Amino acid sequence: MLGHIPLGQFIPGHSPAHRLSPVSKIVIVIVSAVGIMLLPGFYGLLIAGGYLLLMMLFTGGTAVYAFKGLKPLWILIAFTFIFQALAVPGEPVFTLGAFDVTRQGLEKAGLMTGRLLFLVLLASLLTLTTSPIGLTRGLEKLLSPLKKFGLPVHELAMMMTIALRFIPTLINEAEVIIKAQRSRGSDLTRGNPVDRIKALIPFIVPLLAGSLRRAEELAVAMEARCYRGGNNRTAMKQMKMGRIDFAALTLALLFLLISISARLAGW
Amino acid sequence: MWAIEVENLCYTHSRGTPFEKAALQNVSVKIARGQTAAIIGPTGSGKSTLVQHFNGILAPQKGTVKILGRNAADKAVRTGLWRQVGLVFQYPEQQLFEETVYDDIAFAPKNLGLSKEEIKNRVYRALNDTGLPENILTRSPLSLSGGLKRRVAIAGVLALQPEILVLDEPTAGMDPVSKKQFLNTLKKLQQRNDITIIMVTHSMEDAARLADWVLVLDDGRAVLEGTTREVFKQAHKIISIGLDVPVEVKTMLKLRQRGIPVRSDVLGLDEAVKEIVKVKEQLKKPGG
Repeated sequence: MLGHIPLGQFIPGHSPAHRLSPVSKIVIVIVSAVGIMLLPGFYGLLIAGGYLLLMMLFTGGTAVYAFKGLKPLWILIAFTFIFQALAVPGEPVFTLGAFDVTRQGLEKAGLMTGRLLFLVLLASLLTLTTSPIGLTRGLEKLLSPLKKFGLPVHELAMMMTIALRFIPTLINEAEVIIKAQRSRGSDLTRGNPVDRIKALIPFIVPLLAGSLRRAEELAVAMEARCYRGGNNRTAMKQMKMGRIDFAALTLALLFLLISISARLAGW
Repeated sequence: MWAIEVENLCYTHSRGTPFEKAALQNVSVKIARGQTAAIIGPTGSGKSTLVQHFNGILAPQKGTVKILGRNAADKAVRTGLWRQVGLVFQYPEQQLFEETVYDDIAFAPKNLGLSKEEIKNRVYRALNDTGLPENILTRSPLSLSGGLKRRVAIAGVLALQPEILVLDEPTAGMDPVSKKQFLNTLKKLQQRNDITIIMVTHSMEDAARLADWVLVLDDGRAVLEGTTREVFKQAHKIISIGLDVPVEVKTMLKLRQRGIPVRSDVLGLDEAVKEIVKVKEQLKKPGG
């Protein structure tokens, strides 16, 4: 039922991509995303595709799941294509009702859908090979310079970690509550829209009460272990940048350089 | 007539995904009407999955499930089952949501479409059955203590006046006194009404105190089944799957190990004492 939603699924493994520091992975994703958006034209798409393929080779087969994850997105991708194809004026190829489908429109549409696809694949490569905790810690490290301006970086990262940690728990709890209330005869499919909204109350109130209870318990548990925020906190697992990180970062920067020069050269 | 007839039931969680997990494998069970049955097994043995088939929450994937003679493979039968089969979930206090205890207990009878008068009758009867005081009715269920909340939640299912009452680990986390009280409540219920009670538990002690029939599940399979006494005869099997047996049974087993021929299928301390005294007398007589 609710349990099958792949929410930023992480697949554990030991590939080079898994071993990269989360910090460098986040940077690589940002740099590569900019690169993909900058690369112009059909050849640009080819280069970006080749670059992505190269990245996937280092994920030890995990990349297969990135393609599986595309399935629910096909509506969005199709919509992007159609919208772009219809919206761009130019030399008409054929007519679709009141709209002209133009050559320029098709080109643009192909380019945009290709980029969109690549960006989604890129982002899922990150979540597939990085544990949620690694992600938030990486983000925390990247944003830590902002502490100087009073941004509570550690606290934000902690909130994100906790939120991610509790998604499966809350899904489980919701499932149990749905079953329990159905056993008492509550039915969401009966009556007019107002009745149906009212029928949600037996589910929402216990779920909310449960989350508040959990939040309180968690706060007590954290205080009992003397948690007091980010100052002077050390980590059990140090995130160190290794040779592999520098190699990967160099590759990403090279890709960005190519796309900038391609854009400047006006392909 | 049978209250529950299950034949070769299989159930797999998250079927068709990489997270597939078999919860039930070829389980067959029959529970007669008016009986009190206990389903016991360690954590993850499939107890909860099995009982969720009894009131139509889960549809049988393979095998047949018949409740009160009707086949639960039929969706129309399944969606109506909550009227006859009351299912109390684990930690039922989490399902409370109304503003007052009265409204929460009245939730299920209201969904049955009963008259106001009948709803009121049922609420008071459920209150009585669970031993709750009447002055609790106007309070908010969320403000009650854990033990009271649990009783209110159970009253909310009893108000359905089901023919079959299924309780999933109803005594989990209860202190010994409330546990004893609660088991006595169930005992009274079982005597007064013509109701079939099915209790899921991992405590053999609870089963011994209440059930006349026991099914032992382990790893999704039925490993033992029979009257409580028959099952206790095979206490070693129960111990081998990681469950605890009552202290009197343990004592008898220890005595047997030392060569004293006492029966091990005793239900309750009184029986154990009688058996030990009897065997002692026997050993004394012929020159022993």
